[in-house]
Amino acid sequence: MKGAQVRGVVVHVHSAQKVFLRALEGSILEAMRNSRRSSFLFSFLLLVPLALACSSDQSGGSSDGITVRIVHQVAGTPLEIDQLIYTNAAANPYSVTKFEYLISDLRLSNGVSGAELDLAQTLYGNAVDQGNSEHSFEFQTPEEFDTLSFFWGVPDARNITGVLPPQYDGMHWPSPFGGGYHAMRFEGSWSNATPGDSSYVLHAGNLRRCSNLMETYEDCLAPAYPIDETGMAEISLPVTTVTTGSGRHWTLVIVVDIQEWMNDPLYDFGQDWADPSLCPPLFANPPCTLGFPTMPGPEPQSMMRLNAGDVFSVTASEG
Amino acid sequence: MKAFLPVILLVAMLAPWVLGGCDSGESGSSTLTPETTPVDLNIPPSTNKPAELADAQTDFRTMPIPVDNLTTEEGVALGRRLFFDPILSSDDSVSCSSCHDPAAAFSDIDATQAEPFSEGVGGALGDFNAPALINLGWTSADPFRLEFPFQSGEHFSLFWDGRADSLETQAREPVANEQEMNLPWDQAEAKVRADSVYPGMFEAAFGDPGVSQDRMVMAIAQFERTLRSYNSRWDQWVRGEIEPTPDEAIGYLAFTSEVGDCFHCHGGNLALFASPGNTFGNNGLDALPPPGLMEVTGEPLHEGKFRVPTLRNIEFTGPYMHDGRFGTLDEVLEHYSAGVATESPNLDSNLRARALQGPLTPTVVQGLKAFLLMLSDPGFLTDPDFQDPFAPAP
Ligand code: HEC
Ligand code: HEC
Repeated sequence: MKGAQVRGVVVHVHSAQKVFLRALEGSILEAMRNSRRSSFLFSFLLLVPLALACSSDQSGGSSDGITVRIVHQVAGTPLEIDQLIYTNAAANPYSVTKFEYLISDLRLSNGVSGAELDLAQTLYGNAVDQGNSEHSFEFQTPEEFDTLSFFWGVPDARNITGVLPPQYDGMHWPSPFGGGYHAMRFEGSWSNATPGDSSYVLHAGNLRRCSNLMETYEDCLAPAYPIDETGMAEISLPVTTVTTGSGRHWTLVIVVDIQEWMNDPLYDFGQDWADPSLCPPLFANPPCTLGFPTMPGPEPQSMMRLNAGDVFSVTASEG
Repeated sequence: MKAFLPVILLVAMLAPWVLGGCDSGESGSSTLTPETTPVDLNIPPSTNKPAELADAQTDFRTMPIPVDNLTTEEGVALGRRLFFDPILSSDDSVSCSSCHDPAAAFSDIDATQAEPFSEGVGGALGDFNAPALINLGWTSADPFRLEFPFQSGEHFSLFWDGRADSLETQAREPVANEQEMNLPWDQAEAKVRADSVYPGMFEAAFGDPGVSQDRMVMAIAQFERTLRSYNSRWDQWVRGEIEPTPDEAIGYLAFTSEVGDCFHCHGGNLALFASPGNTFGNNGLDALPPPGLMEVTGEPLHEGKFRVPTLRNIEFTGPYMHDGRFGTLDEVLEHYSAGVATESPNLDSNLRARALQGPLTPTVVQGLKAFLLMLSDPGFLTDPDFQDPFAPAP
C-alpha cells in the first residue's frame, strides 16, 4: 500500500492508560494476524509512544496531528438516549437504547496525487455507553489530502472470527450466519398501532451466508435491493484540503446521523420480510419484520447496507 | 508463525517495563523464580472441527494472565490449600469451598430455591446466590473487554454487580466480609504465619516464607485460573468426536440466533458461554429490578443489569440467577419463553423483541434444554486437582 507512515498510536483522549495497554495489545495482535510483513517494526513503533504516554496523562490535541471526532445525532440534533421522541421516515416513533458499530480502514487520501494515510484499522463506536469519541493521530510526512474513507463494519472478505483481537468478541456475528463481526447494533423501542409497543434491533453483519436455520443460503442478497456484494459499504467523503506535517493540527468531525439509517430505502420496522420463506420456521410467531429479527434476513441486511451511504458526513477544520 | 517470534519476544521483554511505567510504583515482582515451575493454562483450538463449527468462536482465546502473577505449580498448590482451609475464617468453620464446592462446579452445594443464600460464619446470610467458578481466568481480565461500558479506565467484571476487577481483587473480599469468613486480614496473616505448613509453601511459591494478604490472594487467583472446563459434550462436538443429537442441534441453532436469542449475552465466545463485550445485561427477571451494576457505577442506564454468568456446567449449579429464584432449568427456560418482564428498565432490546413475539415453541424449548445439558462436564466436578487437599485420600 502506498502511503505515509503513521507514527503515533490512536489516542483516546477520554481514557486512561489501561486503554492504551489494550489498544497496544489489540494493535499488536492485529498486526500479527493481518500484516505478515513488518509486524516487528510495527509493534516497536507502537510500544514507544505507549511508554511515553504512560508518563503523562495529557495526550491528544498536540500541535501537529489530526483529531477525528465522531458525533452521534438524530435528524441533526444530539442523540438523546432511551427517549421515545424520534420519528423516522416510515412514521415509526422510536427511541435509541443501543448504537454500537465498527469502522475499518479509516484513511485519508488524495485523488490526484494518490497519496494515502492510514489512520486506524478498526474503530469501535458506542453512542450510548461511551458517547461521542475522539481519536488523535500524529504524523510527520508532509502531504495534502482531500478525501476521508472507511468501511462501515469489517469488509466481507476479512470479516472472519478471530481477525480482530479478543476485546472485539462482543461484536461477534454468529457462526451459523458465517461468523465474523457485526457492523452495527442499533436498537430501541418503537410504537405503532399494530403491533403496538415493541422493540427493534437492526443488526448488520456479513452477507456471505444467510440462513433460515433449516437451510443455509450462499449469499445474503435481496433481489429487490441490488448492492455491491464484494464489500461492506465503503464510505468516501470529500474534505477541504488537510495538510499534514506542516506543524498544524486538524480536526475532522464525522457526524453519524442515526435517522439516516431508515431513509433510503425506506425502512419500516413493522413491515414484513418480502420473502417469508426465509423467516426461520423455528420462530414462535412469524412473520419476520424489518424490526425483528434482522440477522439472518437478506432484505434487512441489504437495506441497512444501502442505507449506510448517507449516514456519515465529515467536516475538516484547522485547529 | 516463525515470523512473529521476534514480536512476541519483544513484547514479552518490554511488557513489564511498559506496565511498570504505568503502575503507581508497586514493584512488579514475578512469581516465576528459578525454583518455580510455570503452568500453561491455554487450551489449543480443535484441529478436527466439524464444518458447521469451523468458526473461531469455538476456540479458547489465550488466557490473559497478569504479568505480576504468572501461574506456577507451587502457587497453585498454595492457593488450593488456602481455598479449602477454614483457617481464613474467624472461628475456623468456613472456607472458600464452604460456598464454592467442587461437587457443584464450585457453586454452593447447599443452596436451594427455598434457601438460596450461603451461610457464612455463625450462620450469617449474604445477599446473593454463590456463583460457580468456571473458566474465570478468561472472563476477568482487561484485554478481553471493550471500553464498554466505562470511561474511567476501570474495569468491573466479577461478582453479580461487577464490583471486583480481577480474581486477585475479588479474593480480598470474602475473608474480611462479616457475612462470609469474618476475619480481618491482619489476623488472617498472623494465623497463616503461625501455621506449621504454610511458610514453606509461601517460600516455594514466592521465593521466601513471607506471608502477606497480597500473596494469599495471588495464590488463590492462581488456583482459580486452573478451574477450567473444556470436556463437555459440546467440546467433544467441537473436537469432532461426537455428533449432536437432533435436539442439541436445534438447541444450538436457537441459542445462536434470534430464535432463542441467548447468544447476544451468553455467546460471543462459544468456549466461555459468556460474551466478553457484553458482560452485563438485564434479562427481564423483574419489572422493578434491583440496582445491579448501577449500585457500582451510579449510572441509571445500568439499572437492573447483572453480570452474565457462564452456562457451562449449568446442570450442577442451581438454584439459578443472582437470587436463586429458579430451582430448575425448566423454570429458567419458562422465564425466557414467557416470563420476561417486558417493561423492565434497560431490558435488552433483543430479548424484549423476542419475548413480545410470544412464547418459544416446545421444539425450541426442548432443544435449548438439550443444548444447556450439553455443556455439562462431569469430569470438572471430580478432577483430582480440584479436590479438598485436606480430605483423606480415597
Ligand atoms: C459464605 C459464602 C462464601 C464464601 C465463604 C466465599 N464465597 Fe465467593 N461468593 C459467594 C457469593 C454469595 C458470591 C456472589 C456475591 C456477589 O456477587 O456479590 C461469591 C462470588 C465469588 C466470586 C465471583 C464469581 C463471579 O463469577 O463473579 C469468586 C471468584 C469467589 N466468590 C471466590 C471466592 C473465594 C476465593 C473465597 C475464599 C477466599 C470465597 N469466594 C468465599 C459466597 C461465598
Ligand atoms: C439480555 C441478556 C441475556 C439474554 C438474551 C439471555 N440471558 Fe441468560 N442470563 C443473563 C443474565 C444477566 C443472567 C443473570 C441474571 C441475574 O441473576 O440477575 C442470566 C442467567 C441465566 C441462567 C442462570 C445462570 C446461573 O448461573 O444462575 C441461565 C441458565 C440462562 N441465563 C440461560 C439463558 C438462555 C437459555 C437464554 C436464551 C433463551 C438466555 N439465557 C438469554 C443474560 C441473558
